[in-house]
Amino acid sequence: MKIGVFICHCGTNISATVDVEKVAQVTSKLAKVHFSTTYLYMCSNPGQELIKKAIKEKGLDRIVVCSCSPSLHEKTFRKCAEEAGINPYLVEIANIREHCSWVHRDKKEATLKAIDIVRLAVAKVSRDKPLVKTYVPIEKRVLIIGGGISGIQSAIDIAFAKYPVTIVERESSIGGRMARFDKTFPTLDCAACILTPKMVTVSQSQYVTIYTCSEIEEVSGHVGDFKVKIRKRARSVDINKCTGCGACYAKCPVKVSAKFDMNLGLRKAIYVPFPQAVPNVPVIDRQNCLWFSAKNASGGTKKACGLCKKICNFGAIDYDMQDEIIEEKFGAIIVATGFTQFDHSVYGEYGYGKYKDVVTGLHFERMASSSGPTGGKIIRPSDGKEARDVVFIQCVGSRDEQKGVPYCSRICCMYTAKHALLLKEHNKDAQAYVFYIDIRAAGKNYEEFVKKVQDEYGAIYLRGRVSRIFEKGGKIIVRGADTLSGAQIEIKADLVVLATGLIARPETVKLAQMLHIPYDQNRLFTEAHPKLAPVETVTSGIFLTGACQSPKDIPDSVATASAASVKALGLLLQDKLEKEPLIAKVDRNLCSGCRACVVACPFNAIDMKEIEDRALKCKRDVAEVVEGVCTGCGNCTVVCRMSAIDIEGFSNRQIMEEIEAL
Amino acid sequence: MINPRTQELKNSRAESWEPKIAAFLCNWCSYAGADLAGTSRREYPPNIRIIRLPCSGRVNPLFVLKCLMDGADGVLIAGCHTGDCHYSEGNYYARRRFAILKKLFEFLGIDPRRFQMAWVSASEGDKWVKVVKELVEEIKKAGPILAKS
Amino acid sequence: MIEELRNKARELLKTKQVEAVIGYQRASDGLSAIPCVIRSEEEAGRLIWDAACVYNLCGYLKDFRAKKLGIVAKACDVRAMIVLISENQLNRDDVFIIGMECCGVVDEKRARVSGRDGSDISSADKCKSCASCVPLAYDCLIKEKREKAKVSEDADKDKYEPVRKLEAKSLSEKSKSWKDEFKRCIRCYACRQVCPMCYCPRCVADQFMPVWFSKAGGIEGNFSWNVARAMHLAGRCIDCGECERACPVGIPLRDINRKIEKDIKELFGYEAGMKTDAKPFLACFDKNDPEDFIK
Repeated sequence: MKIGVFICHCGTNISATVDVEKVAQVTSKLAKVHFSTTYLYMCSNPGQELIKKAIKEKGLDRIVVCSCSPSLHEKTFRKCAEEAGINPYLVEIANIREHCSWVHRDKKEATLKAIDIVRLAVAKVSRDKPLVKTYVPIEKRVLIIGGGISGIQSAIDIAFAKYPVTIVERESSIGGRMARFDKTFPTLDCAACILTPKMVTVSQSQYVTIYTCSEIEEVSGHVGDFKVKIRKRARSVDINKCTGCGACYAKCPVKVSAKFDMNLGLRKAIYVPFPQAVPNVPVIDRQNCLWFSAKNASGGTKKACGLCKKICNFGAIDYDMQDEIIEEKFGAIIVATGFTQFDHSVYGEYGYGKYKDVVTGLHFERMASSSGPTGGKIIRPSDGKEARDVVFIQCVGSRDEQKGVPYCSRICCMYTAKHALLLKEHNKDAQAYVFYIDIRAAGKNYEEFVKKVQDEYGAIYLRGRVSRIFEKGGKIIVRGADTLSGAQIEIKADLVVLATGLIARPETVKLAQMLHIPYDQNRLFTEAHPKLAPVETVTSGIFLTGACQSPKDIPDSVATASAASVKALGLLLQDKLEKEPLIAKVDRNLCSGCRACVVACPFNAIDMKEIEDRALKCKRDVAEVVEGVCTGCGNCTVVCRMSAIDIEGFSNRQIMEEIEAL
Repeated sequence: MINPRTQELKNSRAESWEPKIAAFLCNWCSYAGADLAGTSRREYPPNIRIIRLPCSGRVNPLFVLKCLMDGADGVLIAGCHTGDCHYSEGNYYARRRFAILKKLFEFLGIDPRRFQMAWVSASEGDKWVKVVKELVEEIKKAGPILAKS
Repeated sequence: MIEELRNKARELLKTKQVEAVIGYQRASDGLSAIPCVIRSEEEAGRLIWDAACVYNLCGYLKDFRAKKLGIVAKACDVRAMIVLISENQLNRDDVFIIGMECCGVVDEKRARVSGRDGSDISSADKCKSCASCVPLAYDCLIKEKREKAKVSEDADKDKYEPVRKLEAKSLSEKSKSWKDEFKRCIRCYACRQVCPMCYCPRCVADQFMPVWFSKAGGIEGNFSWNVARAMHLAGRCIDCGECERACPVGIPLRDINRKIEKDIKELFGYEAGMKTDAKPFLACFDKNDPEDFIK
């Protein structure tokens, strides 16, 4: 056995704290180590060439690369070894950067520790076995969770490549947040005008299936073969029979406030949330529907309504419809679940959410929309009068570690500028005041847009925080400071619009656990790499797009949607999927057939098989691993008392050898 | 009684003893959390030696035993928080296993400070640093394992 | 009772319900009982039953794979069989359990020296805290005739009191006393050979790739072996006490087994050998398992 040890300086990232030459010198004397050297950037092309050359010239048969975390370059060096004719699984990474040079300052201590880390890696590599990649078939379909602009764009891209794609949307229509916007910055196209054609495209594509009123119930399996249970909640209207004529909701006698319109308007108990809904099929809100409340009332003595059913000429109304669980298989999953708004009721200075005329940006969007609840008028919700003086407050919930979230929500500066502009367009006499901390307008034509709002639309920008808001004489008094002039300011406003930040939806944790993808302290899904793999997750076959990963505007959401689609399509285009061979393996001679591994496997990847035992002259049961299903977690290896089952790549021998080298 | 290797270790460490601690980290949460501590340049004591495993459910009690018997002054197992396991359930099994082992060790006279477990997620670089610092402190108080045998 | 047992064995063999009956026969010392295999009606007269029938006979079942056997079994023996059935090592249909109502067996170790020190040999420690004289499962039950079998008087007491006493000792005391115990271990593996639960084709103690712990005598290897044995019995040991009985150097192995048994019962509410469809303790979990020991 001839082991080669290659130590990376990583510029000065490693060599500043670790004496790499000393590491090379000491480790070259370890048993089985045949060659040891250092290089400035081992991952660079010349670095890799150096490794390949050493392998050939020195006849090395396995290598240890001492560099950064294996999550970054393990693949790089495995490929490099393979190109030099060594089995790629005879490579180990000693993480002397993240786990050593970056966390220690004392050079002597860090060098000693680095030597130890390398010794462990050498011990492990000495017990590595050459492994061969396995291949599994791919289910050539994509699941998209969430039917907002991100999900829609992803579906369009995948359908364009002629692969089947399914959108699962919680609401009764796709469209998401964007469907609720009036105009979009910085170009001021109307959101509906650019979204509706996309919604129509997906709904008409033969490759796209849309499940609305649906949620993910359970996810199992792995890349190439995800098994997903989807709950289709009872819509009470048959999607195949309904023509969208609208007779039912015209007739429905119940009026309740419309969530879609931020409760600024009313809708019926059977309704479509907005005129361009896709599918254009109403849904019955069973909580408020008279038929259901009569049915649920004790004894059912109350007379049931049933008007919608009577009026429907197509027999589409089905009061008896039940939730339905469907199970489908997918090769890849794109998560596009979007965001929710920060709840500003935690802020006492903004009135704890109790003033009617203190609203959020989304309220403003609905009011500004000509098809919205106010017909495009910016009004005071308290009395319906048109608002003239409007104060906008930015960073509500964002950039606030105490009560909100620590991050910048990225879009609030821009949407507030847009609101200030729209206000002026809707009412020439209106005046916008904007309280801001910093203006963040980093995007194409964004800064120009803000400038225009200030210069041409006369919006008054005040740098500072609002200290208090209160009602007085039918006005909202806003007190704050302009930190640039140092003046205390008091504005008698008709309306206050809070630029509430974007936060993760509360259900993200549950979804993350179902999908086995990580999320951060803000419950935003974590990408595989913040820079180099922003739409991937660490779970292969699951991709992220839109604001569920971090706050994004529409162009960024669309861009990440297309990026995620390309990643998913890249998978689907393979004939079969390469699978890491780091999976469980059974030694039948040692197996007693006790079934502990079968019970303990989280993936049901182990079956029992009856074999003929020649020595015992009888039939007996032994465990057998289903290779395509095994994920290599290794739980089976521990429940197996006789160590008959082991994990390739993290085998008992490898780990025990590492411990020995401690 | 003591094999030559451990005897040699014992001698070499008699004077300026610094604890040596073996840490089994799951690849997906805790190893990534330790990586994050590195990328955020958070300093911590150099006494820890990390063994990367796919999951905390991969840690065999016999590994822990081997560490302690071979002269590690302490052993740490770190994995994903419950519910967050990359393999959905591995850490639940580990939790049960090591609840028993920890109690058994204490029953047999092994200082409970020497064998610890922690949940460290991929975003908890700070927690990793805190866990290591506390652990090293506690093991320093517990003293060298071989001196006790 | 003995005649009833012999008649049952004869009947089972005659009707070919079983191929053999595993039971106890008198040893040549005229006092103790040793295992025997009865293959014909004529031999059935050799069977005996009394407080000398200490051994757990389940271990023999695996030597007769896939053959229909009768077995003479006490309550504790049956619990062992239940574990074996749940672990796919025994087919319930392959075994005819002749359940014996049991008032406790003798303390064999003390019995060997009886007459010399005159100590009480009437019942083994494990029987003193045993709460069941009737097996959990059987195909026929042979009832105690001479006196109504009754649950041991001590059974109501805290079964784990001795364990609690040991737990309460200081760390250094525990360390010292167990080191003294394990020092004596000669690694004969009698504890393993006699254990009805130790059926691994090759024990970790005998494996070479990897060597899990030192095979040589020495405190590290001995300590490791005893911890490994105990952990492999966690949630499976039914406290038949055979390991401690077999140990030639007198290591109190039951103390270790019962410590784990106690923790598992108190922390997880799990008891081994109660149900044939139970999941193995370490191969399952509950989302609410305690984790106060985890940072």
